[in-house]
Amino acid sequence: MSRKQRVEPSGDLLEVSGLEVEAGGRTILHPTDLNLGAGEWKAIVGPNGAGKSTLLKALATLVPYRGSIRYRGRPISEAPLAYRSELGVVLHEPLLYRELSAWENLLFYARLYGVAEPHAAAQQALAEVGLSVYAQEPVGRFSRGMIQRLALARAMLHQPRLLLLDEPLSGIDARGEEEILKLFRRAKEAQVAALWVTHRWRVAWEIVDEIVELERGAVRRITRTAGVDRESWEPSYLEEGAR
Amino acid sequence: MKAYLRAVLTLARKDALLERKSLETVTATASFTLLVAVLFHFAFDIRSAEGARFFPGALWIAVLFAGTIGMARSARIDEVEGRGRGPALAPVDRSALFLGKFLFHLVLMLLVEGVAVPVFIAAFALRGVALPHLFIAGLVLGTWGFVALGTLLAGATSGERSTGLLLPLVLFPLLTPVALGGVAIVTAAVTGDVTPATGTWLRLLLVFDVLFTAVPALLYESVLEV
Repeated sequence: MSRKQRVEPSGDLLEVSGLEVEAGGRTILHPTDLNLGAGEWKAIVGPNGAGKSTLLKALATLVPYRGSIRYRGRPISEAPLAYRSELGVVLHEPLLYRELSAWENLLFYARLYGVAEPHAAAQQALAEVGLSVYAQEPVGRFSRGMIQRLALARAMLHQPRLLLLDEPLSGIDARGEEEILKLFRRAKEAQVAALWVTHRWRVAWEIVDEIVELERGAVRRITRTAGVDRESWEPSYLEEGAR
Repeated sequence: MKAYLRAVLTLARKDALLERKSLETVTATASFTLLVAVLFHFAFDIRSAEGARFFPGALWIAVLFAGTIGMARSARIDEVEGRGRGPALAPVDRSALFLGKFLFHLVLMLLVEGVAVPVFIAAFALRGVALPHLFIAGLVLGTWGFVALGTLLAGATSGERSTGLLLPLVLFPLLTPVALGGVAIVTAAVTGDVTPATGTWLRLLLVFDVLFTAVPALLYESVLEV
């Protein structure tokens, strides 16, 4: 059984209602409701093309959407900068400049986010993802896993309160994965909330409170992980495939 | 306001750092500009009296074409792996993304012009410029408007496969006032023949610059589709 420590949500940090995304005349995400409390982690699972990444991009205000997103009780359109200052995002693309070193990338983002001590923040972020010794290396020479770690460092550099993570462990080796999971546990203990898109729900299980299944752009099922056996649980799209 | 300006400078500095590492944009724009000067020199067998007539048009042709190449390339850099989205996630008004890019392009073009102008003066056998202040004002105001509009349209077309072809087709017709004004002011500065029309062109360029800096700053968020 998992060693889960439940953190009870302390009111809704993020309230999403009727969130809908269209692209090229096609509905990618049907009206979706979702709530997330401080310190609450939810995994988003589903087959390819289910709308998982689109959901995160809409929440990151990177694609046009319809519906309501409220953060700390206020529509994000009323205070977009305050919302983005508390948001850390890892997408499929690392959003890093391959020509620049890891250090230069993080320093750029630290300054852009207005971090009080950008050098110290960049140093700490590199240390947390185990890349301190590669600080001066150009990102273009990094392996996929190292780039993913640096993308995480970029996302967490400004101490966000809400993380939107799209396959954050992709390409990371087993030892690195354990380090990143420790980082996630610490973030959760510090009441940071997260939506974590993943195909590896068994790895996420230890940390997340709920698993939200998306299929064809709509929420199919929500499972509270507490009290459910990780080994016997399967996403519905896999269960149906097996039948 | 201080945070906003800091973000603009941070973004421009990032582009300058990327450019310093590759030198691709500055090499392409400077080479193209100098090549135009050399080609005009040999193609027209220019002597001093004719030089003043051809110089303003040739200089602006070189600036506009070289700058378009540079801005298209610079915009494509942000398209690689969608990394232009990274800065869009930061807690700064997204108009800062436009102004940071604009500032980088402006400084780059003024640097290229700083090298190109003496070469053009030599290539067109000019003895000098009669009104240097007017010359600098015309060049800076014209470049400002060109870069402002170019930055917006380079961003808007950077996702297209045929950016290199599309950008000049969209940009050049809109640049007509800048090209005409820039040539008129530089001609007046070179010959010393200032007329009331020179003042009108200066004011027109100023209005164009303000308009095409403010409007793109407001529109840039939708241009980025974010």
